[in-house]
Amino acid sequence: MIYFQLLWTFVQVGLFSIGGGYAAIPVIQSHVVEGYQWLTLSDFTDLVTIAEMTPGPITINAATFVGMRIGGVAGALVATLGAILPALIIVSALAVLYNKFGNLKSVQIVLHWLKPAIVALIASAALSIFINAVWGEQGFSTDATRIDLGALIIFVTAFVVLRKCKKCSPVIVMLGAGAFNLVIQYLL
Amino acid sequence: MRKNGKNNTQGKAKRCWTLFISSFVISAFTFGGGFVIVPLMRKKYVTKLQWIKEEEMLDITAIAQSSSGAIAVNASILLGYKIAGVLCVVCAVLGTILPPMGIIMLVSLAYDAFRTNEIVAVVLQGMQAGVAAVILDVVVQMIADVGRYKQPLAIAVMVVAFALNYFVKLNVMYIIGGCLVIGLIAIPLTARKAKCIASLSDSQQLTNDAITDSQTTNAPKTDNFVVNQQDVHDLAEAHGDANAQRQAANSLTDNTTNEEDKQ
Repeated sequence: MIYFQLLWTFVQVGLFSIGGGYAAIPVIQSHVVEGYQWLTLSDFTDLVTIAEMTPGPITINAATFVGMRIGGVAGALVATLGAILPALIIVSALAVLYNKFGNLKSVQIVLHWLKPAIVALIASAALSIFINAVWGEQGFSTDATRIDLGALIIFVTAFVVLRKCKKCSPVIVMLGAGAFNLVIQYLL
Repeated sequence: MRKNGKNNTQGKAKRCWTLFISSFVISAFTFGGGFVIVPLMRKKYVTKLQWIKEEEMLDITAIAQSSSGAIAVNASILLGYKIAGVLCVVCAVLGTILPPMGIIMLVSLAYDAFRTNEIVAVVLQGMQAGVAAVILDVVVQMIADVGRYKQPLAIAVMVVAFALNYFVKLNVMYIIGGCLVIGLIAIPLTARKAKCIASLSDSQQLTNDAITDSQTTNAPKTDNFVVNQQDVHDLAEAHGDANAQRQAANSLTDNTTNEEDKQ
């Protein structure tokens, strides 16, 4: 039955997307495109693009999208449930453990050494996003003409606003950035 | 966390509802990858609502990232449980997954139009630059936090992890695994140091008690400072502390200085 297949597929996706949604993409591809052939490769590329463009975790977006295409709203629900099921079980267990033992010195020590790496990973993602925003898909280049000046201006403005205004909501800043770009592109 | 005595169901339900709404809004704006949610959550739950401390947020981030599944979902579970148990977990998770589900369902019905729509593309492009700024803002703060450890090894780990991930594209799992190993090794090493200092404090306590008991200027019993089975290293290291403590004891100041070292 298709719903069970959807569920099981995305349980596996959820289980293997360790460290971030991008790890899930090959898993999705092998099951959805190659395995069950629910999507063509071109559809799959669309999926990844849309999952990137829309808010929310890639895994959830992918699950909803595929589920919707294959089995309508019910399919979307089942697939998404599958995607979060492993996390619900594993992380819930970790949550209980953290609440109980989080103050233990040994747990604190392990987390202490995990944090520099987490910061590094987030910094790495930040750099990729920054370069993508300012230089586009082709990446960094010393060629000054390749720089998207508008994006750079938006970036700097947003950054300054965030640094100066501690209470400012990042959400508003992001929306503002989007709106600002509309202004730049259409009015200037 | 400090539950502020609000164990009654009404307070709990209210908090979980707030959590649901907050998660919903935050999730609706988590564009561009899982990490974006970290600064958003931080601003909301640490700075604005003050439901958790900065450290706890970092812990949650670390655990959420290390586990499988979307960071946003994992963090919701951890946060929800910490705030008020299972009810909040459900609220947080629902709040996190409903926006993307709703949006994708709508989009999938007309995704060609969505994909090629120019206005959408322009807004998203602008948001990308905004997102970059949002993440960079929090990264700068987090790097400063790690810097505050004042441990060169931690900074080295951070730099190496960055290089490995960004340039070498090493799988996240290996990096996290490596740090877990470092952390596990650090447990006995740190515990030994802490035990040594604690033992020293204990002996100091005994010594101080002896002084206040006798009320005479008997020389402190120096053999109390020699802890059982000390390595030469540890003793030399502790010696600096011991001298400072001995001076404090000799001037008959209060005992509270010991407690700080026990940290």
